[in-house]
Amino acid sequence: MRVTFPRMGHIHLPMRAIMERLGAEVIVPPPITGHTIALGARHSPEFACFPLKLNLGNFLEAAALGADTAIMGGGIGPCRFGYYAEVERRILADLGVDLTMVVLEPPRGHLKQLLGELKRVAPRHSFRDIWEALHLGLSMFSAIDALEEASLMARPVERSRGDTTRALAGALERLGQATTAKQVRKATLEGLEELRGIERDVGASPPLRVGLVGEIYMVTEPAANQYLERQLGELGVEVVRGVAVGQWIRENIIMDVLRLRRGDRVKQAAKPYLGHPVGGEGLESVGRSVLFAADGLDGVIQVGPLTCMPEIVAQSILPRVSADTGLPIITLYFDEHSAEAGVATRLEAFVDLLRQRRRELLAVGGE
Amino acid sequence: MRVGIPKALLYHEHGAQWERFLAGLGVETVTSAPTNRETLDAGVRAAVDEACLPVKVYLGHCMMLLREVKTLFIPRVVSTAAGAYHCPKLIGLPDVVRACCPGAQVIAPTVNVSRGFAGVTRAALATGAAFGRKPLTTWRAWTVAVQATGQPRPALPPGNGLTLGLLGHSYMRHDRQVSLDVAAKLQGLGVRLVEAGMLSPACITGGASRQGKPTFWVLEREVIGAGYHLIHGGEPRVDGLVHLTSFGCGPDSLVAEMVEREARRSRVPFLLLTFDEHTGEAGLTTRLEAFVDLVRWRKRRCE
Repeated sequence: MRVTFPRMGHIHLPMRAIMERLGAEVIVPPPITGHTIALGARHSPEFACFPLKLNLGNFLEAAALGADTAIMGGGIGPCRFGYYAEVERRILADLGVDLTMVVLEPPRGHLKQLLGELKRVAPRHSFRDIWEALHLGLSMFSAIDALEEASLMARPVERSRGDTTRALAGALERLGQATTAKQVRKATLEGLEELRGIERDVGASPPLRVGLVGEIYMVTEPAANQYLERQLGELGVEVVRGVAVGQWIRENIIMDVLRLRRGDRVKQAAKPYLGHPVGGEGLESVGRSVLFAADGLDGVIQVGPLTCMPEIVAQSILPRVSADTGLPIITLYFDEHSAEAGVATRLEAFVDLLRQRRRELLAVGGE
Repeated sequence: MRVGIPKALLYHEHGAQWERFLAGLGVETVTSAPTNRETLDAGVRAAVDEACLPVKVYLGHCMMLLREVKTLFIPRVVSTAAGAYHCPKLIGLPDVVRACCPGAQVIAPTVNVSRGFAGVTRAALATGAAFGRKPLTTWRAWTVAVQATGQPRPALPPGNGLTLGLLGHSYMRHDRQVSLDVAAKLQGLGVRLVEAGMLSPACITGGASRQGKPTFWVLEREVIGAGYHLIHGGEPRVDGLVHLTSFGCGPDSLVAEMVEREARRSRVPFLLLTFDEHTGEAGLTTRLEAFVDLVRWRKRRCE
């Protein structure tokens, strides 16, 4: 069994670690390029959301490298993601591509079911082995969050452009080589030290702080969002993530499995504007924007795939949040036709606006 | 107080029930006029660009109603079938209206049966309470409304000409402005139309059982169930399928693809019509005539 999975940010590191720990041969899909995007878009429904097209591009490229099994997440809606596997399976079958889909449906207190599916991929291993592999993976997910967060704080004030990006890439590569939780810890601490030690531009003014909310795939995968975080960092902006994979896993899967009630700070913040979850990260986009305003951030960028239903609901409501709090909020949708130049222009304009606003607010405050 | 009921989206599924129920509560209601060009324009102005056409239409109806009333009845319909949800736009609808139609007062009882049917009764009681009615009065009014508006299944008109299945959400098929009167146009070309409402629940469930993983959207269960049932020769037999969808519809973007692939596999003629606010009638008529011609020609060849 030669296993692959979709690419999304750096999840391929823990995914590969988990699968290899369980003795599977892993074919990591190549990094997403223009070719991946074109390939996926060609065979996907035209109005499917972007992540499905990218998934398909990943699967087709991995299949060409010999993968015969694909691991995919499931879901119960109302966001489309839960139906991706079904559509992808059908498209691959119609294309005559021999790729078996193993779908991991949300545990919902049914941990045994999830472990059962994983056992299909790793039949020779005990539940205990699977548990240890998952533990290794989970520690990696958290490590990636921590390293990426450190890079978001370092990049806006770096003295030489590219230092942070290079340091992050190095740290993540070392992390990817860890095979035990102890090695993960070591690699994380080394990476954090390196990122925090990056030479700073001493004359730089305190960076603008911009919150990032929106659909989790689009926020996490740089090739899908035109390297948004890097572009913002290089414009001297500190990005504060409202949604991140490690955090999502903790809040949605672990808490769910343990049947713990998670804090509804975000839900309470959203309540005056959006009174019910709408799937995906719709409620989070509204709630976290309200919280970012209260935290004194300079602006918020909402990110999503074109036609994303939960984000369109949030987008319809965010102007009210912006009007009530004074926080500037813009929305960026991406699909296979997006180009870096167009996004760069919008980001520069937005950042200019935020700098101007900050100058005005400080001037008023100083009197 | 007069309460406005927008004649859009789930009005086409439950509207008669809502009108009857509110009347039974002694609430004076006004329902918006059927969608026209002005409704559409008002909706397009009020909505964000990326919203799907049916949501734009809904906002248009709200804006028209707000010219004469202040309060709108917009149930938050999360789920009307166990284990299934409505689309996020429907779940967030009351909040979207509050944000996009300034000044609107919204009464929005939540209907959620995904974990049990009591969700509907709870919503009815909440509605009664919002109007200051006693629970017993409310319950009676609700029961009467449900019984009075139960419709018998429409039948396929007799005839032996071309028969086509018409798939799509009811707020597309039954909105003559949004769909540019496709149903009437097809009938004008001598076509008999089979719609999901004509099929028994058993037929729809049977069709849906052919799926790998069932869809978790309430309205799509009907589309896929009816679609697969008709594709695989279920009664009444059809010569082809026409699927009405709107630009930007999330669930349809995936489900229409599945139905089309199933139709292609079974060699059933299939036409997908995607509507948005710019759709022109001339182009539509051409496509309909071409499709009907091709299906007729194919039928004659096979006989």
